[in-house]
Amino acid sequence: MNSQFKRGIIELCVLKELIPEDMYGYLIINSLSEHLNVNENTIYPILRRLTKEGYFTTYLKESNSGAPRKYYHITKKGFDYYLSLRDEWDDFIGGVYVILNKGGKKNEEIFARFRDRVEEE
Amino acid sequence: MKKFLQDLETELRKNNLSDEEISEIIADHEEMIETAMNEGLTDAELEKKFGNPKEVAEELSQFSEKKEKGRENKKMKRQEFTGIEEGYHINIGLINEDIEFQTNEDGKIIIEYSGKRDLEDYTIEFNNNELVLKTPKKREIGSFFGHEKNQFTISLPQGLKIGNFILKEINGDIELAKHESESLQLDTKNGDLKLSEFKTNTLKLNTINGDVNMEDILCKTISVSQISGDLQMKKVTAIGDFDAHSVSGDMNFENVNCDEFTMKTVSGDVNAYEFYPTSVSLNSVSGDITITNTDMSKTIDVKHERSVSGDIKIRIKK
Repeated sequence: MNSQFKRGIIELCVLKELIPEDMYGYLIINSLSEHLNVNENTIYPILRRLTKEGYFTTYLKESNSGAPRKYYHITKKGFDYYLSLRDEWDDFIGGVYVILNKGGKKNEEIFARFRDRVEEE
Repeated sequence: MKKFLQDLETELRKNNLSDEEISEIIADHEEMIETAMNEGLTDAELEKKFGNPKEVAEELSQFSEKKEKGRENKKMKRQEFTGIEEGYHINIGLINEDIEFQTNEDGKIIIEYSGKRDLEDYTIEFNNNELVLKTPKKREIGSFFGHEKNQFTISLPQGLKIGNFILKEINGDIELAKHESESLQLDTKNGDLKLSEFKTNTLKLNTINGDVNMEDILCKTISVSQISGDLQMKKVTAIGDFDAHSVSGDMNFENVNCDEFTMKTVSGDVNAYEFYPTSVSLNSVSGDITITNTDMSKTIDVKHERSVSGDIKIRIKK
């Protein structure tokens, strides 16, 4: 997948993860990699960039094991950014599905049509 | 995983990141790796989770502060044109750039750009008394979700009247103020537009999603068409007619004067306060149109009024 495109989608997911609660880096990576094929390579730079842009703030908090962890907290600006990315995504994916579902949702149906068309030629 | 940290540091240095950035990034990684190890991940699992230090370093270097050279990745470029004559034309067509207009007393056109591209990528010309600024031909693939933050600041000569002013923009925001032109044509898609203290003969505006804010405008005729963005107008005077179309965006007018006002809206609401056209033709499907005025001496001639399910009200309030 085009890396910039993928980055945009993951950015959207990172923002979403932080809306209900503040999380530390490793937790965010873990939580996203449960559903998506992503690793630290992709997520950490996004966390850092979004923090620089003022979408997140960070603070240190002691953990059970003693060592402090860096927590990421989404700002109002970050939330607004999430909303705009989400809109953009919905628009885009909506359009993609309209195209893909033209003439039936099932691959069998689409293939049947394709076969008929090819045979006519 | 010690090797990962060492490799990461080496790669970050290769990418010329500042010491401060490097120590922060390394500390973040130490913390994440420690957490992962506490959870009992095997070396193989760790490797999978943390991936390739080279890739992270390259990714990080794209927006991080560099050593010595400072913020070279945020380029600032400038171009000037002189010999501008009254009635000069402006033709701008951009995609992802914010544009802010300013004025200067030196009779010059000064274009300043900050962004990730090279200014040379753009078409910037001043020929036959016309300024042309167009987007690069080679577009970046996947700029759809991209974060190109490009900004143009265009300073125009103060007090020198512009001829035809055409401005087309897709995603960037526009701020335009304190100028006068023969005509002004604005086409925007997603970006917002702020237009103020502007004088022109014909003003044409087409917009899709962006919000539009207009204040202190003097023109002969004005025509506005919007799909879903909202429009705010304050202190706008048109000597001639005012045509407005909206699909679902709302329009708000305050202290607006014109000759004949023609409004067509599908579901957008129109709210006007101190709005004094000489006559109106109002068409709405489901949007409400409300005009609230206080000056009893000015009457509005209603030429045409039609609505399917929206309310149309013209009232005088003391």
